[in-house]
Order: sequence, then structure tokens, then C-alpha cells
Amino acid sequence: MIGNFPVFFIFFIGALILLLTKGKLHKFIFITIPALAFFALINTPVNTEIVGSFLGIDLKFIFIDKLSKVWGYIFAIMAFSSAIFAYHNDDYKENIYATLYIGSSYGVVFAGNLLTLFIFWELMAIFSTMIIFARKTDASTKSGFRYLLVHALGGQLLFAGMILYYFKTGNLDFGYIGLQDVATLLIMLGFAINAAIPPFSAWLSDSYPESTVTGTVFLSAYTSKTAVYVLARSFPGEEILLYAGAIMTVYGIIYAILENDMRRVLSYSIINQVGFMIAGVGLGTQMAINGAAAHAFAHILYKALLMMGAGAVLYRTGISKTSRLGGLYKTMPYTLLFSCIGAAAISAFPLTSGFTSKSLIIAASAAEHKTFVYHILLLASAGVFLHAGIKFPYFVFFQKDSGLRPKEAPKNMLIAMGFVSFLCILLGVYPQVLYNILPYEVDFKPYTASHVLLQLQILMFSAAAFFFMLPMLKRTETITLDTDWFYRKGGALFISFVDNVIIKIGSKIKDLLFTKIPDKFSYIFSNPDGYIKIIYNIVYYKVFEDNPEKLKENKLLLKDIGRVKTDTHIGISMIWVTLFMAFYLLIYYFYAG
Amino acid sequence: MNKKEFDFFDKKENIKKLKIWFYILLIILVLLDLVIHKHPHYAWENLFGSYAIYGFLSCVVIVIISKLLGKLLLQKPEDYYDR
Repeated sequence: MIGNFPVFFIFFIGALILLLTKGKLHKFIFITIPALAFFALINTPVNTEIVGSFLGIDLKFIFIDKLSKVWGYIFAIMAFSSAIFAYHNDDYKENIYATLYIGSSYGVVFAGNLLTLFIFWELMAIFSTMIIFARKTDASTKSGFRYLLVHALGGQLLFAGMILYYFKTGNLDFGYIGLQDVATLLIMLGFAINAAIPPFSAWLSDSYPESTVTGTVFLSAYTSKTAVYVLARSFPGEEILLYAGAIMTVYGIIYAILENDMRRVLSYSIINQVGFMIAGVGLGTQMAINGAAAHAFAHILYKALLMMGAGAVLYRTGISKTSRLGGLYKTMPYTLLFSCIGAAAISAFPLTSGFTSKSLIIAASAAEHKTFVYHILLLASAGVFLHAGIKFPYFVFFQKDSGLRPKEAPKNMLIAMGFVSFLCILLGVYPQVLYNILPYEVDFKPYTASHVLLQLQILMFSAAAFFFMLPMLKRTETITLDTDWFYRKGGALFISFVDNVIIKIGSKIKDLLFTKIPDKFSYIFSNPDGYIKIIYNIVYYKVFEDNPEKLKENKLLLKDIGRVKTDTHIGISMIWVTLFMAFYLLIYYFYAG
Repeated sequence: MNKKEFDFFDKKENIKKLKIWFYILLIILVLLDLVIHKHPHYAWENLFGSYAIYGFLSCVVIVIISKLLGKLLLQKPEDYYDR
């Protein structure tokens, strides 16, 4: 807090300054903004509130406590290191949108009421879409639109839930909500879409791999983790989240094993890792919430590190399919080293941040005697190493010699990756740094002999399983269908249904109303007395005289009414007058009495 | 190319050495079960080498399930959505 300004104003004002600057100054400011925010946040006292009134409703605009501060700190650290990583990038627009995106996620995390939260929630969706568009390829534009539509749906669910919730409870304060009725269910669904809980997870793995080298690094940190925060604050201890989280951990692994694109593999591992956090939220005990917060903190760092490593490879080679990569250890040793630190951290190797954060959640699940979830989380811990810990470095840097000899990553990327690697190890060696800022007191020792042995056995035997099954894991040049199939294929089906059925029926109706019927009338009224004469003749020759020849002749004349000559030249106006007279007569007859 | 390329991992004999070290590590890890006192939450965790078996089998199961799902249902050619 600077005076009365909440931290995220730094980002919005900063974005304005970024808009006006160019070159080195622009890039320097881009890096400075999060650093400023970090120090401003250190000086923000816990339980800060800013209260005001809006449209006659008293609202708590801003609320900052220990829980939201965890996210506040990591968001600043993440923004700082990603800005260094993006130093080479000359797309100023992307930097500005990234700054606005980060500012909006701060808005969500520090929101004291649902309305403020909703506004920043929508801003996040818009600015993150702009980051996806920054790749400027056909694929990124299309997936950006899909991303926006999914998040618009999420925003609408949240909005509907919020309105219902306000009318029921009469307040909009954002705190514990709890799943009770339709209103709270809608709010939870809105949050669940951003948390990438299947079946609402396809937006993540669809769009992140299509973004720019730098954009993906920014995207990987904020959207899903703000969702974890809002769920931790409003729905802790909901059993459905516990099982959703457990399912997510496995879901992410299965897809990551099948995928070929390295950044899509990492995107699926975000779903897997967020699953651990959601499970922690679902447990809802103090230890589990601590675990979810700690794991979000640690995860943002090592996931960024992995995305940076993959980004550096993509930047140097232009390739992201693992089937076409391999053997890069020869020319990109530092990128390999940092990627391996990220891989070790995500796999929760002892001495890395993943080990000290994930253990909190797994220990909490055992303490609550959630047998099923405990075993699923253990299984997923093994699977993480398989898909992200070994698969990513192995297929990119080793595997076979792809013939590629790219240069080592640019200096700024190496500095960013080095900095994040350092933090990953720091949190692993001195977990107290992280434990001290968690919302509740931590009474947990990660480094006991039995726990380290547990983890090492699981990990090393996963590695053994990986090499044992290597032939089965050979890369294929395929994509993997996810739930986006329903709206991608379903959307195409709907368009072709509209094109072929609705449009055809519509044009038939239009033809009938505006062409065929008026044509008939104008045809009749081109010679009305002649028409009447022919109709009279047809009836006469059919019914009274029984003369087939004359009947046929008259029927032919019906098609060519202009040729019919009549002796009575009454003219069109006369017909109309007669019609109206008859009409008046009827009206008089029925209503005049 | 004036510097000799770093190709440690391309040489068969090096891979062989690494493999041997890897196997030794695995054996040590399992043997440590005899020395270290475990704090299990469930009975099976007391078995000798339980976590090693759990880790290995977990991966085997995950790979088999994902391969089945992939081949039968999920994996499609890259131009699937453009057709």
C-alpha cells in the first residue's frame, strides 16, 4: 500500500507509462513495475481494508490478509522474472497487455467484494486474450477467440451467481461462501472454469501453447492460480473440490503423456499441478490451505522455469514438437540445466520447492484419512516425474540427434531462468522462507529420513518405469482430443446446420411471402375481370355444361390471363370499390346493431 | 567448427555406465528400507520396498491407460480440426 493506493494501481499506471515509452527505457520500466509492487506489498499491513459506497451499496473494495498476500508476493516475483525473460522482445503491445493482465489478477486477489472481483475477473480474460493474439498466427487468433468465449461463459456464470447471491444474502462481501444453492453453485462454476477443472480445462491446453515464447510464460502463472485463490477463500473444505482435484492430477498426466507439443505437455502439467492445489482447498484444513498456498507459490516458479526453457528452445529452433527435437544438450547446456532444475522441482525432488510444498497437501490428506485421495495423489506424484520431470527434458535435449544445432538462449533468458532456478532451490533448502508467509502456523517438517526415502523411491522407480516403457512412449505426430472437441466440432456442426437447414427453410419462407404470393396477386389484378370470367367459365363448363373441350381451353387461358377479353370494362378501381363496399356491409351487418 | 562438439550422451559406453550407476542407485534406495524407520499411514507402506513398487506400478498403470485411451479414442492426425 502506498498511501491509500492499493498495489495494483502501480501496474495500471505503469502500463500507461509503458505506452508512452520505447526502447531500453520501456523495458527497464517493464521490469521495475513488479519490483516496486513487491516492496509496496511488504509494507502493506495484514488485514488492510478499503471501504466505500457504490450505487448506494456499502462495499469493502479492497481486502488484504495473509492468504491474499501469498499470491501478491509470488505474482510480483513472477512478473519480475518474466519481464527479464521478455527483455529481448520488441513487441511493446504484448508487454503492456501483460502488465495490465498482472494488474487485473492483483485486483482479483485483493478484491474485498464480489463486484470488484467480477470486474477484474473479466479484465483478466480480456487482457490475457490480447496476449494470446500477440503471436499473430492463424492458429493463435482462432484459439484466442475460443479462449475468450470460454472465459466469457465463466464470467457470465459468475455474474449470474453473484446477482442471485446478493438478492439472497443482501451483501457482496467476498469471504467464505460455501456450496449451498444455485447462486453459490454458479459462482463455483465460474471459478472452476478459470481453475481449469475438467471438463472446463480445454481452454488452457488449447491456447497457452499457441501464444508467443514470452506470452506463455506470463499466462502460465496468473489465471489458474487466481482461481485457486478465490476457491481457497470462498469454498474451502468442499468435498467436491477434493475429488475434482484428485481427478485433475491424473487427467493432466494422461494427456501430457499423449501430447507431442512440448508446451502443450507443460500446459497439461499445469492442470495436473493445479489439481494438487484444488485437492488442498477441498480438504480445507489449516494445513491443507497452507499447502495449497505454498504449492501455488512454488508451482508458479517452477512452471515458469519450465515454460521459459521450452520458450528458449522454441525461440532458437522455431520448433515445439518433441518428435522433431532432440540432442539439444550439445548446444544449449544452460537451458538444459535450468530446465532440469524446473523438472526436479515440479517432480518434488528433495531440496527443491516442489518437495517442501506438495508434501503439505499429501500429509494433510493422510491426516484427514482420505484414503482414496491420498493414494491418487501419491500415484500422481509418480506420474508427474514421468510426464514433466523426465519426458520434457529427455525428448527435447536428449533422445536422438535431431541435427539441430541452435545457439544457447539469449543472455536475458538465461538470467531470468537462473534467478527462478535459484528461488526453486532456495525454497527447497530453506522452506521456512515460504512457511513464514503462509496464512496459518506451519507445524511440519518435510525433511525426515522416512519422507525423503519415500519420495526418492517413488521418483527413481518412476524413472525406471519410464526407461522400461520407452518404446511405448515414442512420440507420434498427433494431436490429442480434449473437451474442446465439443465446441470446436460442435461449433462447426452448428454452423453447417445453420447454413444448410435454417438458411434454406428461411429462404423458402422469404420466397413464398415476398415473391410467390405477391406475384400471384399482381398476376390476378393485371386483368381482374378477365380472371373472374375465366373462373366463371371453368365452373360453368365443368359443372353445368359438361364440355371438356371448352373447359380445357379455359384452363389454358388461366395461364395467360392477359389475352382474355371481356365485354364488361369495369376496371381495377371498380373491383376494389366493390370489395370495400362488401366489406363495409359485413361490418355493418355484424357490429352496427 | 573449431571446437570439438560435446557429445557425451551420444556414446554407447557412456550410456552403459550411466545405466549401471542408475541400477546401483535403485538397489541402494530399496535397501535403505532396512535401515530407515518409516512413518506409514497405511499398512501396505510397511512392506519392504513398498514405495518403490508403488511408484513403478503407478507409472505402468498410467502409461497403459493413457496409451489405450490415446490409440482408441483421443489421438488424431494434426490436421484433424482443419478438415
